[in-house]
Amino acid sequence: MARSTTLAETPSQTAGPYVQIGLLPRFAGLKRHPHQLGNGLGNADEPGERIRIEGHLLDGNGAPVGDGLIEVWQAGAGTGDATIEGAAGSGTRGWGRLGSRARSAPGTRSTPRRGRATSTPATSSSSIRTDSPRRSGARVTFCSVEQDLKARYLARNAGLSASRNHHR
Amino acid sequence: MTAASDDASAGFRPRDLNRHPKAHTPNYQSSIARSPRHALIAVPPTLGDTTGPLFGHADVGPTDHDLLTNHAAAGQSAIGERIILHGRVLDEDACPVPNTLVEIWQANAGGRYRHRRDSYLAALDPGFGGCGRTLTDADGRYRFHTIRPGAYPWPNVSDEWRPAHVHFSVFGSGFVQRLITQCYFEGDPLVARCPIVATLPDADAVSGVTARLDMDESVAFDSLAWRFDLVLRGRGATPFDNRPEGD
Repeated sequence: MARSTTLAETPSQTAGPYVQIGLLPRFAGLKRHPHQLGNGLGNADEPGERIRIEGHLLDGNGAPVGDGLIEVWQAGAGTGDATIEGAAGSGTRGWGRLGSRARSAPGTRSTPRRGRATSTPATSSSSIRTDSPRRSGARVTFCSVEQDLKARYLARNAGLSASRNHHR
Repeated sequence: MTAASDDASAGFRPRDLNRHPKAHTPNYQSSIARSPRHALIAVPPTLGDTTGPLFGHADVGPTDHDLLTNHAAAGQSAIGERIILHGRVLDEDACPVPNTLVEIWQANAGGRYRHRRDSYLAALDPGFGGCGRTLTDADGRYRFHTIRPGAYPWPNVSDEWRPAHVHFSVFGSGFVQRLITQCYFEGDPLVARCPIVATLPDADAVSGVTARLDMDESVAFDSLAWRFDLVLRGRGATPFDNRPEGD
């Protein structure tokens, strides 16, 4: 395919088994670091239906992945950058991270469901980072069908599931 | 399916997967159980793909970019060869990517990570955590002060040695630009022996993850500088929506 680009994208390399010290330093026990980013996906003041997504991060053999990182990004559907701008710097920018551990309860995030765009369902894009050379992209789609929640899996070995939580 | 929404119309170029490692690379043993066995499914881009989280100066502390001091006791510094690791974040159209979050993590000068599962013989450095972050400036520039990490052994198909490397995480303006990679150091003879480097398709790709000695930015009697530029996906002329299945 003809490409008129002037630069080539930097190739990816594995995040490795210690990704959590880089991107979740407090979760990994680096207590001298004052904060880590991505703790707050939604706060109590943000309007919207609150949902919980939970699951297990498993490898292809069904074994728990204890060194993983999950990122969630929820665009402000329908309002674009204005919503994102408004959320930046607070805990409600629509982006969050959590780590997986092999022998603990699955990580969870409670977050308001984002508004619906007129033509498409609101979506959360999740990228799952583990000790693997290339990221797996998974998108959980919250369909606009009334009272129905469906998840589509792009990375079927990710072990993610989406479920409805009537209230926290 | 149609394009997701008007807001998503400013698409990104398709990713050239031939420039990246294949997900299943058996010589890097960890990839065997951690790579998909089913074909990927193409989905149309949505607002969530072409936008991304915004970061600001409130997200970055005053010493977050300085790994020499950000884990050390007051007045102390990390042990090792002091280096400046700097460069620019650009996109494929050579446009700078400003105000984007760049995060790094690395082993200490002896080749050991500050991680509960790293039991390598090399000593932990009480003054080194190995974690840093910064925002690019208006021209896409970033700059870290750190130590050159050590090489270390790891178990794979057989025992192997990793070349000195620093892990990078970069966001960009759209979530589809998200990139996780590593930079190696020009001239390191372990690069050519590393099974993880060998997941890259060719020498040009290896060059794309190699930091180069930069004497112009080195500080006399203080630190050598290494330059590592990162290139994220560009917006360009090719509509994201036209990406063929499986590309």
